[in-house]
Amino acid sequence: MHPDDKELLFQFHNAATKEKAFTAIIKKYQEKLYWHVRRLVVDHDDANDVLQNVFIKVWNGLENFREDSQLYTWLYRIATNEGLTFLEQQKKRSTVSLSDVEAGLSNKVRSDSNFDANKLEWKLQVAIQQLPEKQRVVFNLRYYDEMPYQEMSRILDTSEGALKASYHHAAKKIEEFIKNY
Amino acid sequence: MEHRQEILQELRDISPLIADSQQVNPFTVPQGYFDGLAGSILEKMRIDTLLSNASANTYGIPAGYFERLAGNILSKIQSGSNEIRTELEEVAPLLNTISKQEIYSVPAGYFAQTNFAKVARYGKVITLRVARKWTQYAAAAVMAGVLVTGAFIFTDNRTNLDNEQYQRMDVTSELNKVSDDELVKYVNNPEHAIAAPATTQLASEEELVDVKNNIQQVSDDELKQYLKENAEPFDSVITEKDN
Repeated sequence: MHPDDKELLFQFHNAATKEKAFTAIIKKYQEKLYWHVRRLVVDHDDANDVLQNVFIKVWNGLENFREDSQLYTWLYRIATNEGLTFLEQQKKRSTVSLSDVEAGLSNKVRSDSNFDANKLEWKLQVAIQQLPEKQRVVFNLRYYDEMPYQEMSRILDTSEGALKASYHHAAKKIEEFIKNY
Repeated sequence: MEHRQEILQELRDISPLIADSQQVNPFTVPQGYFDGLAGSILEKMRIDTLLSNASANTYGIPAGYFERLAGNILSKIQSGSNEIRTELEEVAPLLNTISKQEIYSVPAGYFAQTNFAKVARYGKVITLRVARKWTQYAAAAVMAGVLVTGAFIFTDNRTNLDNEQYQRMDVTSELNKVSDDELVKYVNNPEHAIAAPATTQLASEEELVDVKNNIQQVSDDELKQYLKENAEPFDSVITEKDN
C-alpha cells in the first residue's frame, strides 16, 4: 500500500526524511510513468533514459512544487515533456524528414522481438506511432491511462474541447489504419 | 429526638462501651464544600442537558450509508471506464475489441533493480548499448582506413619494386649466361616477331642504297656518338661485343 501524496510531500520537505520520501514517490509512480514514456519512444533503453531524466527533474523541482495541482498531474507533465523533448532531439540528430521519423518509430515497433503483424495489439501500436506526437500523447493518456479530459487539460495545458477533438480524430485514424493494414 | 433515645437504649443493650463513647466524625470535608455544592450540581445538570441536545443536532447521515458506501465507490470507478468505452464505441468501435495488455517487453527485474533515486542524486547511467554503437562505428572507420592505406601502400611498393629491380639488373651478365643457340631460337620464333605497324612502309632498295652511301660518309666517331646519345639499355651489349 503506497502512502498518501500529501504525507510524502511533507516528508520530502523534511531533511531527515527527504530521501526516504523520494524513494517512496518513485516506487509509487515508476511503472505508470515508465509505460507512459515507453508508449511514446517505443524502445526500452530510450524509455529508461527519459525516465532517469524525469526523476532527476522531480528531485530538483519537488522542493518548489506549489501543490496547486495533484502530484500525479505534475509528474505526468514532466514525463510527457521529457518524452516529447527526447523525440524532438532525435529528429534534429537525424537527417530524415518529420514523416520519416514517425515511420522510423513504426519500424522500431516492427523490429521488436515479439512483434506479430497478425495480432491486433501490434497493429494498434504501429498505428499509434503514425500519429503526430501530441495526438499520440492524447490518445495514450485517454485509451491506456483512462484519464479524464479535465486532468489531461492540466497536464497538456490544452482545452478540454481541443483534447476531445484530438482524441476522436486519433481514434478514427487508428481504426482506419488497422482496417487497411 | 425520641428516636435518638430509643436508638441509644438499643445500643446500650448491645454494647454499653460503644453507647458511652463520644461520636466523633474522623472524615474531613473541603472548606466551603457544602456552601457551593448546590450550585455545582445545578451547573452539571445544565451541561448534561446541553450535551445531550448537541448530539441530537449533528449532521444526519442517510440510513445504511456505510453499508452501501463500498458498492457506490466501485460502480463510480467502473462508470469511469465505461465512459471511455462508450466514447470509443461511438468514434472507433474496432479499438474496443483490442486488448489493452502491455505488449512491449521489459528486462527482467528492471523496476526492482533500477535505483532511480540514486540516479537523481548522483547522475544518469548511460547504457552500454549507446556507447557500444559509437565504438562499433569508430572501429569500422579505423579498419576501413587501415585497409585502404594498406592497399595503397602495397600496390605502390610493388610497382616501385619492379622498376628498381629492373634498374639494378646487370643486362650484360644476364645475356652472357644465355647461349647463342637459345638466342637464335628466340629470334627465329615467329611468336616473338614484332608486328610492324600497318602504317610502316618498308624502304625500297633504291632508298637503302642512298642510306648506305650516307652512312659510309659518316665517321666511326660520329656513329659512336650518335649511338651513345640514342642508346637503349640493351645497346651496351652490342657496343661491347663489337669492341
